[in-house]
Order: sequence, then structure tokens, then C-alpha cells
Amino acid sequence: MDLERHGDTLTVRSRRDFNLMAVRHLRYHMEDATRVRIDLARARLVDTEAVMALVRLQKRGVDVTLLEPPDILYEVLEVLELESVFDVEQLVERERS
Amino acid sequence: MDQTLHLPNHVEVIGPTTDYVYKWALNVGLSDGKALRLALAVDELVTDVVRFAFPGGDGSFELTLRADLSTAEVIIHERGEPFDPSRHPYDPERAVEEDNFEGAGFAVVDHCVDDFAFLNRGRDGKEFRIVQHIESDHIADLHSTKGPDPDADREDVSYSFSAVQSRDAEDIAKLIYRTYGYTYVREDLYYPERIERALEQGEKFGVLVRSNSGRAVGYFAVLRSRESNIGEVGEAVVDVNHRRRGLMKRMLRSLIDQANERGLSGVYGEAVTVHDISQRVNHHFGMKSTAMLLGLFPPQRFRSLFDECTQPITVVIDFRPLVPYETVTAYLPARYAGLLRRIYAALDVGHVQVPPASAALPRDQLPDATEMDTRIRYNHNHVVFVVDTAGRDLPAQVHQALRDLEDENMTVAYVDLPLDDPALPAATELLCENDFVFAGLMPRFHEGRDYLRLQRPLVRLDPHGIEVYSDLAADLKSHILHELSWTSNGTETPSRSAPDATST
Repeated sequence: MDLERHGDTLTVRSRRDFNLMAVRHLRYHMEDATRVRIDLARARLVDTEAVMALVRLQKRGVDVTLLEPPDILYEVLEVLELESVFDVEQLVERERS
Repeated sequence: MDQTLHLPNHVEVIGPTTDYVYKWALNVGLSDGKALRLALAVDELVTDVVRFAFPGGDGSFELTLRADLSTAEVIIHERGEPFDPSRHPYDPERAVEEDNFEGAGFAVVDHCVDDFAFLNRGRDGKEFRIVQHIESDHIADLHSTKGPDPDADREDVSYSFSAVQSRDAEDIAKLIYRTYGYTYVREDLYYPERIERALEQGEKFGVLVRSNSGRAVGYFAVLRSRESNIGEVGEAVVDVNHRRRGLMKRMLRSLIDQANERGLSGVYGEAVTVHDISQRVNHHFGMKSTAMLLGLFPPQRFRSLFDECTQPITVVIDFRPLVPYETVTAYLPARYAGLLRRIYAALDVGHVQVPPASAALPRDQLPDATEMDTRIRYNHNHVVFVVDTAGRDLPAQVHQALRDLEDENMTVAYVDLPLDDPALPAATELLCENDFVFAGLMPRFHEGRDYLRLQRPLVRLDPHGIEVYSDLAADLKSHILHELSWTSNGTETPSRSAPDATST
């Protein structure tokens, strides 16, 4: 997982699946960041540990943006009935800025 | 062949394990989407083991990958803290309002795979089992299977017999579909890709018959066991326009020759009992009935062929040793000794050596824990427990597994016990006290060893729907029905009298 910090924004580029290991890395490096951008272009899977982490970040008021998440994310959100918790349009940045 | 990974309960194993499962799933024939979902299900289950199975300590678990032509199964076995996922359902409201995501991973697993079972194995821990069905193109969707048979009405047709090649796969599937419609029990034969894969991997070998015009009109194959040097004479078809010309017998003769050339120690058939045709053919080629398995196949597969049959299909196991038996050492349990001796005699076993009773393990000296492999055939609604070490908890483990599988609508459970195991007599008694009855001898079935198979039907069957051919099969049927106390209208009485016990 590659990390870059610019002020209170943490940018994370995942080298593999967004799973428990990745969540622990993210948590370790969060510190006082209020904005997190997670690039999932290289992730094949996003599991429930990752989704839980996203819910918790959002509850803490952290502004989370996902870049190029795999389609399986939407299935997991649907199974867990969490689509209403996230504004998916806002959560996922469709085009790279 | 099973592949088993032994893994520590560490977060670092999650990623590599899911990567491996994903690649394995693609290799056994799953589509990318199904492989991905299987990998996600494994990620969820392994994460659960890593986080919760061994609180405060190091532990390890096993991940077994098992595939056949139509299913890919992953089994995760751990011996950590007791847990029952059915008691922890996911609740989305609780997740959002209380930050309690209990059960979320299992909800995702259930969504991702075609079958998901949890088996509580008592002292031997717990198993999570997930299955994806491998999708293939059905022959009916690939090409037209119709078209006139140019040799249909000719008397002077000549036939060529050849060993089946992978390029014959599509012709075999067409032949099956033309002949049986959708009713053939071996579903894999409707999918050319699966036939091709089985041939290329050496899982089967067979004979193909073509008529003058080059049309495939007969096929017969042996499916090699993955765990023993025997094969099942299991796929047979002759085009309706070419029957009564001796093709079946010539093919079977050729198959047995091929099996001998390949060094197989025996061949067997699972002959259905909705009629006795298959049993007759088997016996014509020297096979002997060794077991009767109640309800092995689900009924719907036969419904359109045999309208009268709406119950699970019972089969007779017919076996022919290709390498002669010499002396067999077997701890014959007293209650089945007579029948087992008759079966061995039919198989031309020269001498059955039964160790003295003092050599057998009494019940109180059995190990505490049973070691066994649970083989669930979801498509056929049955489960086989293959026992390696019989322990005192054998009935409890079997009972618990059947409770865990309640949602899978199992129709019958079988237990295979090695006949050369001193624990066999005591294990047999334990199971018979728990509603299991005789099924028969499974010769050389696992790792070349002979097994006693016991069975417990979980649904009622009408004995009139079970037709047998040989005297031995008739005696097996009579014995089994007597042991079950099943009357002719298929009802079951609660008390069972033990059949005649025979001294060893």
C-alpha cells in the first residue's frame, strides 16, 4: 500500500485487495487525516472488513473517496444493505482528477 | 485430487490464500466472476478464523481445495473456539446504529457461492464448506443434435470401435442427448467441455463406436477413482437405431481389456434399481453385487424416463476384481459376518482371515475423537463419511453433521469403515445403535482398502420401487429392509430388531 499525505488529506494506493490487512495499514497511517482518497484500481476484492472500515471512517466525519473500486464492492454493499449509508455517487470518484 | 494448505491464523495469510484460491478456481473451470466470488467467500471465512477462532493465541487451520468436473469446493477446517454462525445472523440496522457487524461476513459468503454449509465436528473442530458449480455450455445450446441417421434402417451396417479421444467429446454429448433427452443421470455428459477435460486429465477412458457414415452410435467409459486404483463402468449409451446388435457387450469387453491394460485392480458399476437391465449386463461380465445403496440418486433425474419412479433412486454396487483377491484380513462385525463372507466368496476371495475377537478394540478402548472425511454430494442429496480413525464420538459427529446439513435436504447418509481396522466391530455397533443399517461391501474403494458401508436413509422409500437381479442382491435387499423394518408400503416402524447375528 503506497501512501501520500498532503495536509489533512491521505492518499492511499492499494497494491492488492482491500481486506483486513489493508484496513490495518490504513488505520495505522490515518492519524488526524480528515480526507482519505483510496485508489483501488489494483484491488480485485473489497471485503466486509473494508466496508466496515469505510462506514466507521464516515461516522467519524472523515471524507472518503474511492477511485476505481472493483464491481464486487457494489455487490457487498447491496448484500449488507448499506447502499443508503453511503452516497455511492459521492463515495466513488468516477474520473481521475 | 485434494490440495490441502496448512496455514497459521495470521492476517498475512489472507491475501495470498485468496489469490491462490482464485487462480485454482479459474484452473478447474470456473468463470472469472464465479472464481472471484469464491475467492471473496474464502477471504471472509479465513478472516473470521484469523480474527476469532483462536482468541489470544496462536492457532492454525487447514484449507482444502476439491474439484470435479461440475463443482469446485473449498473446505476450511479449524479447531478453535466453538462457534455456530446460525446464531449470529447479520442485521443491517444493528450494523449502522450500533456499529455491530456480526454475521456480515457470512451473509456475503452465502451470497457469493452456490452452496454454503457449516459442520460442527465436536472435538475435531469446525468446517466451513463452500461450493461453486462450474458452468459449461450444454450440448443442446451448442449445435443441432437432430438430423437423419443415414444408417438407421440398414441391416449391413459395419461398425468401427476406437478408444475415445478428447476430439470425440461433442459427438458423445450429441449421442447422449439424442438418446436420452434430458434424463441421463450423468449430467457431465451433456457438456462437451467437461468430457474433454476429463479425457485430457485421464479421469476416464472409453470406447466409441461409429457406424459406416461416421456417426457416433455407441459410447462406454470407465471413470477412474481419484483415491483408489479402481474404476467405475459408469457411462454407457447405444443409439436407439443401433441396439440389439451386440454393441454394448463388445464395448464392455473392450473396456475391461483397457482397464486390465492400465493396471486397474477392479471395476464396478452403480446399477440403478428402477429396472434390472444394467445389473444384468454387469453380471454378464462377471461383476458381483456387493452393496445396495438406498436413495443414492435424486428421483427427478429419472422421472421422464420412468414415470412411475418418484422416489430417490437406489443402486446396486456390482464389482469385478481385475487383480484377484488373495487372503483378506477383515474384522467382520458379528451381525453382518454371514453376508460379508458370502460377498467375499462371490468375489472369489480364497480366504477371509478374521482376527480373534480379543484383537478387536472394545468400545471403551476406542480413541476419544474420530477422524473422518465428510463428502457432501449436494447435487445428489447425500453425504458419505469416510472414516479414517473411528472414535467414541463417531455417532455424535455424524449426528451433528446431519443436523448442520438439515437445510441441504439430504436423503441418505453413508458411513464407510475400513474392514481391516480393529475398531470396526465396535464402531459398527455404535452406528447401528444410531439408526444405521447395512449397505454392503465397498471393495478396494478408498486407498485400495475394503470398506464396510453402513447407511441411514433420511426419507422413506417404497421397497416395491427397488428391482434387483442377482440372488445376492436380493438377499442384500431383504436383509436391509428387514433391518430397517420397512414394510411393503414404505412405512417404518420405530423399533428395529437386529437381524440374525452371525458368529465370526
